[in-house]
Amino acid sequence: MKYFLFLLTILAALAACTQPGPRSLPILGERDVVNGDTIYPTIPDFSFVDQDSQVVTNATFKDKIYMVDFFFIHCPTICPKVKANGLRIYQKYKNDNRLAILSHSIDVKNDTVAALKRHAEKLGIGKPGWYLVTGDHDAIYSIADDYFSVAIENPDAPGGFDHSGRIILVDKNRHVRSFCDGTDAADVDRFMQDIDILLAEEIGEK
Amino acid sequence: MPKTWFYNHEVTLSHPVIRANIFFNTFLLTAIIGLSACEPNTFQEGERLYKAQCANCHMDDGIGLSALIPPIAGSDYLPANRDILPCIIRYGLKDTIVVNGKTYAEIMPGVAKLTDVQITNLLNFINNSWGNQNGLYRLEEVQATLEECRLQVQRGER
Ligand code: HEC
Repeated sequence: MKYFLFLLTILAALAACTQPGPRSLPILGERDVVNGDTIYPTIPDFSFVDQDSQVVTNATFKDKIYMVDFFFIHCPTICPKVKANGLRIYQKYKNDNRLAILSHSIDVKNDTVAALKRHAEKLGIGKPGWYLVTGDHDAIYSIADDYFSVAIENPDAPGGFDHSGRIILVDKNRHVRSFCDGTDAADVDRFMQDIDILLAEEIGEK
Repeated sequence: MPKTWFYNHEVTLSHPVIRANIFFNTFLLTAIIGLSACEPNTFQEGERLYKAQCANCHMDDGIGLSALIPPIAGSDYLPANRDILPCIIRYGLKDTIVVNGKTYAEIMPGVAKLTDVQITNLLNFINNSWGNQNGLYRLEEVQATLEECRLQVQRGER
């Protein structure tokens, strides 16, 4: 029995040794190697218009990390759950100017700037924490791809659109570093830990 | 066969009488479980339907979302509008309503594919979950209401 306890102690000590230090987030997406340099996929230039009719570009998120999702106001399926989880993230970080949320409407016909403004007010959100944007139809659908998200117009889908409820985390250098299923509260909890890891790694103290 | 036989440790489980006894007991248990499955718990079906059709918007715990989607948990709208709830589920709601003192002017799509029985189970679930205690619906009551709504829709009144 004594021997057994001894073994157990050693094992426990060993397990403690292999405990990982602060985890670091990978850069997601397929990478290329050009002339010996690894090239990671990056988010391209964009320019959209937010709920206050102001232009939002990559420069809006300079020196910040930001989160991205795709939605539409009259979405009969997953959007409210994604928004509810987004609200949890927003509440936790809204006084932290090191990060922001960027939600793209994929219903460019109905979700006008005025409609986005009303939507923001009803959600109880605002800038600089949370930007709701609209813009050129093709630009929005094509950037969804860059964020590894699905946005497809489909008259047979509920509400007329197919889209993923993903929330994506982007670093200062336009790299995608993490994502979660925005409809799944437990996955969003894990995602919030990733946010803290990236903040510590990239930005440091606020 | 004396009953004590069963508890006699000297008799092994492979004894034919014991084997028969175990077999019979297992059979009985299976039959009981089988019978109870014939009468599904209607709250379970209501809960399943709620998760599939409503929880996306009203959330798993019925709390709604900000000023966009009204709560069902603790909603004073449910008891006050008991007689139109079946129609809301089938035909949706596009109105200005007040729930617990807050005004909502939004759109809820109806779920046309639910049967009268499913709507009854769903109503009984939402009216008696998360602390709600609004009583039960009978199928006949729900059917009568739905028939009235159908006629209203036909006449273009809804
Ligand atoms: C697409 C989102 C959505 C879905 C899905 C949805 N609702 Fe609603 N529901 C709403 C909105 C928005 C309102 C408020 C409508 C208005 O303002 O006229 C509402 C109102 C209600 C009300 C009356 C107000 C209250 O909260 O007491 C009830 C009851 C209700 N819904 C039950 C359901 C049930 C049951 C289901 C599932 C069959 C369901 N809803 C599915 C969005 C939704």
